[in-house]
Amino acid sequence: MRSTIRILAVAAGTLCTLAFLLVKTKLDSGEEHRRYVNLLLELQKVDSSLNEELLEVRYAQLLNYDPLVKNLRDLKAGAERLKALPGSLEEGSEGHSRMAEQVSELLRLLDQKEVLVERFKSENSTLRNSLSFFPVAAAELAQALDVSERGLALEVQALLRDVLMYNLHSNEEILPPIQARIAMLSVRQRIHGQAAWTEEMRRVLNHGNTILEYKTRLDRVTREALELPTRSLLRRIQSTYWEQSLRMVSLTNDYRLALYLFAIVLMATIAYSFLRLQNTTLALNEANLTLEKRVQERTEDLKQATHELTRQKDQLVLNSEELEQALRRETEATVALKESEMQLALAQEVSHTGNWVFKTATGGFSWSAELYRIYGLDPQPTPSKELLLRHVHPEDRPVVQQTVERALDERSTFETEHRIVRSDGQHRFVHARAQVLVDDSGRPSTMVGTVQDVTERKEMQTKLVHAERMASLGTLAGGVAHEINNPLSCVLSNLEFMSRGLCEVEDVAPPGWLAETRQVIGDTFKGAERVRRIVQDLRTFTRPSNKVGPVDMHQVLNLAITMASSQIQHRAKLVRDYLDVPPVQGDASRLGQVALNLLVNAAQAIPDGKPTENEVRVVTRIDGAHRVVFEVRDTGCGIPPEIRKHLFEPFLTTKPVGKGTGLGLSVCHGIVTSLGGEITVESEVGKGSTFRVSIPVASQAADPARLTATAAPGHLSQGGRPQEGPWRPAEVSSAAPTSRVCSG
Amino acid sequence: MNDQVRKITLPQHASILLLVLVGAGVAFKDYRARERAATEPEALGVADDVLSQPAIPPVPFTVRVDDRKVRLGERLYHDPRLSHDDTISCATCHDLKRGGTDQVPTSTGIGGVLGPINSPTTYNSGFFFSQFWDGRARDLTEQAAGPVHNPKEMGSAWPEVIQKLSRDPPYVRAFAEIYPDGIRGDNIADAIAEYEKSLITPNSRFDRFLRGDARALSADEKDGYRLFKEFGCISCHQGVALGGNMYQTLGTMEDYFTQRDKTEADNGRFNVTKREWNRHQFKVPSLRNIERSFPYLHDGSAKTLEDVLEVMWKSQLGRSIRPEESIKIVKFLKTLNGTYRGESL
Repeated sequence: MRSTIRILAVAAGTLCTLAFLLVKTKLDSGEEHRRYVNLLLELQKVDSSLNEELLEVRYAQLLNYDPLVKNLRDLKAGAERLKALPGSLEEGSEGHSRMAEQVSELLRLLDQKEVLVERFKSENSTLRNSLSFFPVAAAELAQALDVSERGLALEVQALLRDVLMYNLHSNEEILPPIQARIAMLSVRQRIHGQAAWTEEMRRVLNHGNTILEYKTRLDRVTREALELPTRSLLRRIQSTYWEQSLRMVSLTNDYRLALYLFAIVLMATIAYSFLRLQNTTLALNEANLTLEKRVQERTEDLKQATHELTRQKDQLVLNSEELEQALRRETEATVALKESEMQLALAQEVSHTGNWVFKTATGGFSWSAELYRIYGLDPQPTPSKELLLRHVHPEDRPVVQQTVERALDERSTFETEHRIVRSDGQHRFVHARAQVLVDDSGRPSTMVGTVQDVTERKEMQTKLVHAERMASLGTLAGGVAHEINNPLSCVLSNLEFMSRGLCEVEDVAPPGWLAETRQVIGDTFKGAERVRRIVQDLRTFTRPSNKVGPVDMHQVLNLAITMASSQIQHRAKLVRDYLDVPPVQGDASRLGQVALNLLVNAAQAIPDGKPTENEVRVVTRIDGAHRVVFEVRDTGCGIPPEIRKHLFEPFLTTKPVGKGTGLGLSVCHGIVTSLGGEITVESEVGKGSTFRVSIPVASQAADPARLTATAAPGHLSQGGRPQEGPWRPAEVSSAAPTSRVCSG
Repeated sequence: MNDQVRKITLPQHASILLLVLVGAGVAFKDYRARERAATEPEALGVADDVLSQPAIPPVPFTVRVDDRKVRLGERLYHDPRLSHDDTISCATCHDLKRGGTDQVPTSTGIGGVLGPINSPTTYNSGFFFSQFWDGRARDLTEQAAGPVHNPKEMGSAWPEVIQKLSRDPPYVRAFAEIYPDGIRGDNIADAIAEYEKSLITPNSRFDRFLRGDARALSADEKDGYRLFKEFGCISCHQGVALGGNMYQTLGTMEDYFTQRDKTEADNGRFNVTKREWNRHQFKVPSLRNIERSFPYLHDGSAKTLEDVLEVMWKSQLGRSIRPEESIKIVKFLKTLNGTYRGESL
């Protein structure tokens, strides 16, 4: 703050000094000065001119007073202007006041000159007129004078001469004689008051007097006017002015020098300041450079450090990556382990195989989860040998125990299949297998074993055995049927022959015998016919189903219903419960045989006579995406469970002897199985049974729409199999009871 | 920043010293030169061109005047509001149609008061070296204020006149255009004076003669001019206005006032200077348009030119004149009628 004020003060002081010096050296008064000097010179010129004109007028060289008037006016006006002194003269100074004094003196002198000029003008006019008229007046007087008055005339002549002489020479010495002569003539004029020349004389004397008077006075006035010291005064004013002006110029010059010097000092100061500033700037730049360099060095160091750090970081990252990789590997291993464990568990679950490990040294026992499951142990208790043995079926326990003991003793493997009792009481077959591992000293250290639940396999084996029996039965039956068929044909043709032969011996044979024979033959025929039918049915076991194609299930069912309606109608009402189903892959006649069999069975399960209370319901639906199911439900007597087990075995029948072959359902089973389908039964005694058949739908390539469009006899489908038209009843199997007895 | 760097080096010192020395040298040289120039005064040649002028030059065709002032002055010249009772304007006594006078012996002021002196013409008054018969006004501007304030003439004063004129918007505007200080006494006088300067009467027959047209004057008129010169009339009636540039005593050769009692006005220039030799001195009147500015002399006692010639011969020239000579001079005097704005007076 204080330094700012100081700087401002210095600046203000400098500016004030500069301004002061500039004002003092101001030279624009040059024009004023020039004008003033010019005016002074002009006034001197005009004054000279006026004086010259006065003389010119005096000697009649100038007849016009206008120039006098003009010059005088100019002089006075100019002198007035002189009063305004140039500004460069210091007011109040000695020179200034002397100038003013001299100028007012000039004005006073000019006033005097004006008065003198005025007097000069009027008297000069009068004098001139008198001078010009004086000789005329003298001549007139001379003419008027009488000849006798010659003396007077000579006096007048002398007067004329003297007056003109005086006018010419201005010799005042001759003035008194002239005046004396005038006085004398004046007396003469008065004496001769009545004379003719009196008037002329008076004029002459008047003008003569005027000339003398005006000449003297005019000379004095002229001299005074010319001698007025206007010119010298003007010169004095000029010299005073010069003096003053020079003093001013010199003073100004001094200030000018001061201004120069001040300016130089100022410039030097500025130059020093500038240099200092520049030097400072240079130093600053240098310092900046040093600083920059240092910064650069530091930056370099930092960069290196950073680089090092980065490298370390990279190393760390690398390490961590390795770690991570290791970890990942470990994790992967763990996962793999877990997975394999899971797979193991899954495998165990799928194969129903559990395992256990027994450390003989420590007595430690570990079980797999599946093992628990096999034993039906949900809360998993601590595993032990005792627990294992406890679940073994009591009948099998001694054998198992013995086997285990022996294996431990012999350090060998063992394998056993035994029954267990699960904690929920269920009996299961398990296959147990174990191995004893020995340590380096040969002592048994560990015993590992698996327990496999083989119940299902056992059941399957049972089923397989059953099926194999069924198949072999079928094959057997077929073979038997074939073997029987030939002799049967022979029997039947022979019986026909015999029957015809009886007609020929009708006349000759005893009447009783014929009838009896006929009876016998007829019975035999019936018996043979029955055999044939059985044989025929049996043969279906061996006949391959070769006419496979898309079949409309509803068409098949409707046909079967029509055929079975005579048996159903007086037992039960028939209900169709159809849903839209796609065609199935199969043989229309075989399927029809199945349906007809089931319908007839249903009808036969229902007692006669109460058709309104019972019903046979035929249902179709889709099971899943690829199977069509049809069911035949009845409200009949039902099937007891012990019969249900063997329901599809051949020759099983509940019908009275002669009513059924016992092959119907067995045949159905055979047909459905051969088509890739399945037949099941549900039944409740007293309430009714439901037979369910599910058959795979026809492949997409043989859908019914396409079928109807392209179907033609003998035409080969893409599959190369012979196509077949709708199933016709003529081909229905002989499952329906028919009679080929001769009507006779 | 260390001090070593901030220091100014020797070469820098040296260059600044050089600058200072050179500057100082230039300054001192300039100082010496000016000192010398101041002591040597300038030599000024004064041209000497004093020309002999003719006794009577013709009236110029134009004079340099300010047109705006002339227009304003013309209105003021004809405006009776310059008088106290709004009856008298400049033109009342200086009627331009009557040769710039009122053509009566002495003028009548406000209230019917007769003035003491014959009103001189305002034509060519710009050529006169002073104004009034006794020359009491140095110039026309000074003159213009006289009659306004004279109780026997217009009987007014500037404040009154200014008050009247200020009520007239055109005046206010006109004054404001020309004079920054508006309507003022000196401005009114200045405008009137400027107008009067424009009242020149060029192209009289005599001027045409002077300009070389020998036929402009008849033989008698030429003879009259000769007699005018011979008899000495021209001694006083010279210059462009044939007068108006000097004073002359009325009764140089014989007392003029023998016939009547003298009035104060008869003292003439004496009244101004109080110098005895100025007694009965009057400004020599201009003879331009003399035919139109009758009656003559300061007292208006001479009704005709013949009358005034009688007075001149007797009182001023002290000689007799023959009637035929008188007639010729009168004829000559009548050739002095000039034109104003293209029209003969």
